Amino acid sequence: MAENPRSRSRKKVLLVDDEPSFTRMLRMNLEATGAYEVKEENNSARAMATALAFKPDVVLLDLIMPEVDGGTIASQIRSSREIGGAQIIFLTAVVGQREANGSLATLCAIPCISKPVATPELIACIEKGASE
Amino acid sequence: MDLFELSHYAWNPYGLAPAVVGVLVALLGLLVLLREQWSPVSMAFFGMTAEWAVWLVGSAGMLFSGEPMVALKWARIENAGVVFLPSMVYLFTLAVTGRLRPHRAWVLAALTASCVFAFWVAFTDLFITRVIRFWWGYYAQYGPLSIPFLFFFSLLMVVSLSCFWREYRRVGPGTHKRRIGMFLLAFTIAYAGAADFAATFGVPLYPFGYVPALLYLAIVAHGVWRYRLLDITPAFAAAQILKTVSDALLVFDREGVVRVANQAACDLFERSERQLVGQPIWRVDSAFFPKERMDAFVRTQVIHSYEAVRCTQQGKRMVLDVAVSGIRDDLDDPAAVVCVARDVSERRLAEEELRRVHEALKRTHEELKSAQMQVIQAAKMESVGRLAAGIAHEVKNPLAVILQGLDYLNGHLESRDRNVSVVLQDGREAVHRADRVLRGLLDFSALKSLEMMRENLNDVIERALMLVKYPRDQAHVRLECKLDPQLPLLAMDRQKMEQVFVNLFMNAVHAMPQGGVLTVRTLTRLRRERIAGAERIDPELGQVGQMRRFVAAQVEDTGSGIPEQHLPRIFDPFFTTKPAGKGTGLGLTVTKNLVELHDGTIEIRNQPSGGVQVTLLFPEGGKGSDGGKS
Repeated sequence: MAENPRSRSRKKVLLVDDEPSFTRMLRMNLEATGAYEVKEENNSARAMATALAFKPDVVLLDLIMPEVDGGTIASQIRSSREIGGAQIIFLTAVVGQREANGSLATLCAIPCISKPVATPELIACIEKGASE
Repeated sequence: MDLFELSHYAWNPYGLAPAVVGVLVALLGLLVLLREQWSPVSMAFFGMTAEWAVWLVGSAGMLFSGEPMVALKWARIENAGVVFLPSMVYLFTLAVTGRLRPHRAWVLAALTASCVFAFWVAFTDLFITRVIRFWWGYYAQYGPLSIPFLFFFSLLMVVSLSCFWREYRRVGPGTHKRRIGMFLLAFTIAYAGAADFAATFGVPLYPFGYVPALLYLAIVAHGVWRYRLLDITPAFAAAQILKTVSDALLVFDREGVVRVANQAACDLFERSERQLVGQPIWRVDSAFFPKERMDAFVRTQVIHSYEAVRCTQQGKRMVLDVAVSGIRDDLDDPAAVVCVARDVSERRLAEEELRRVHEALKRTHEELKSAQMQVIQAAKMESVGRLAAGIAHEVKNPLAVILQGLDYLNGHLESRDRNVSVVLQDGREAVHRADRVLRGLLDFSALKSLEMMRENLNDVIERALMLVKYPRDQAHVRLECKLDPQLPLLAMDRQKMEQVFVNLFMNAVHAMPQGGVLTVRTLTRLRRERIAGAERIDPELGQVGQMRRFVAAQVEDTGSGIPEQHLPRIFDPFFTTKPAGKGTGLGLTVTKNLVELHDGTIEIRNQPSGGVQVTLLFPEGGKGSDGGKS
């Protein structure tokens, strides 16, 4: 089981996206707040191994990636004993914001954010998920 | 009867020729009579040839006679024919030149004179005194009473020939002229036979009168066979045409009194010719002829045509095509009108049927065209949808990088230059704008799933109005809300429906940058629902379908309206009239798609008073009635 995020000073955030420039930029922005410890993974095939090693509180998952897609990784995380409790947020370019808030969210019980997203919005979403 | 005793006769070669010619002349008369079917002219011709035959045969009998007493009897027979010849020729001349009627009295007088001469020939010795024997045989000798006859003969000969001559000069080229020319020639030759009279005064000149008679015979036989006796004159033809045409033909005088009516006209008005002729036409049928237009018809010689309706005594309704034109008299004054009426009822029915079929065909064509447009539109949408998903993925990722980059720079760039933060803000705005376009595209391509709930449309509208309150206030647009509180619930995806109204309200607000009035109305309407293809199956029954209740929503603005040329394209993807960057051109496309996903229709039109009116119609118990399937 994952540790309770509230007991820690800094949240561990894993970024899984095949776009290195995006993950790098996002990492720098999140780290700049001082509230997050961030790890990037640009190879979706290695995402699960990285997650198991890193034990993140939050996983930001791209949906469409070469080799393994975000949906598969999400279900692997959910079924994992070690990190199954981690908060997952999809971060995708293929849906409009309205739809992301609608059907996808209710189907998988996973929040979905449409790219591009401003850093404050993303942080709000992470914090909202954590408070629930 | 010594005439029939052969012993009183002797062979005389000179008698043969007149006998043969006499018989031939009689035969010709008979043939013409049969060929011309006992027409008055042919009867006159026959009468003339009969007298001629009597003359020639009598002359032959006289020549064959062996005794003076028998010869005298034949001479009387011969001359009984001769005295009638001038009158019969005169009669025939008048008949063949068509002048018999005005000269009837003269003909009668001539015939009477001939009768008197015949009496003298038969019963006195003062016309024919005796017979004397010439070298060719016996021949009659004339007495004093023959003088008036010879005068009479000459007079009628001149009159007849001049009559032919005048007629020949008068008529134009054609069959009649040739026929008259032929008779003129034939009679001129025939009158050479008058030389026979020389012998009757003792001059020993052989009576060769049968020779010109033979020539006459040849010419007339040829001519009559070729040109016949009767001429087809326009007057003759007109009478025949009147009888045979199937159209009703009437002639009225200026007072509207029927003067001529053919059989078809009698049939049309269901009256006999006697009941019709002499009656004012408006008394026969008040609807047939427009009394007030009589003057116009009679004055002009152009053909006027109009349509009249006549109801028969059996109650049958007839449509008549009537053609009218004026007739002028010899002084060129308007005299009468000719009216030809044709029953066109059946043609009219056929035309109406044709028109109906044509209308149905046109409607079908329109429907097909509209269906085709829908198919094209759908194909366009689908391709736009696929394109959208592709573009979104390829463009949104770089946008995400840019936005994150800008966020980072914003936090870490400590510059005194104020422009730096402005530039960063502009960059962020630009990314958001690009993102809005892509989201619009994605909304458009991802319209397939709806979450249907039974909702009150008024609530949805009120919420949408709240969402646009800020931009509306900014533009000083006043709101007029006329929502029907009795509105039935409709199955709908609330969020999507909100989006529909937000789009419409924003369009309305944008259309009134200087302020105006935004009117929102909801109501229920009862409408006959059309069933696709019903009109094609049976146009006679009219629209097929049942009455259905619709919920209607209307959004009106007081802006400048949509230019007419843009109206057909307003639902096209990427069509916008807003300045570049202000609109994606997808708002109305998405709106229409959303409305149609709810089984609704959207109609946008310019109001006569200015501004745009958008009407949405949703059938009650539409898509949501079966449990909100998407």
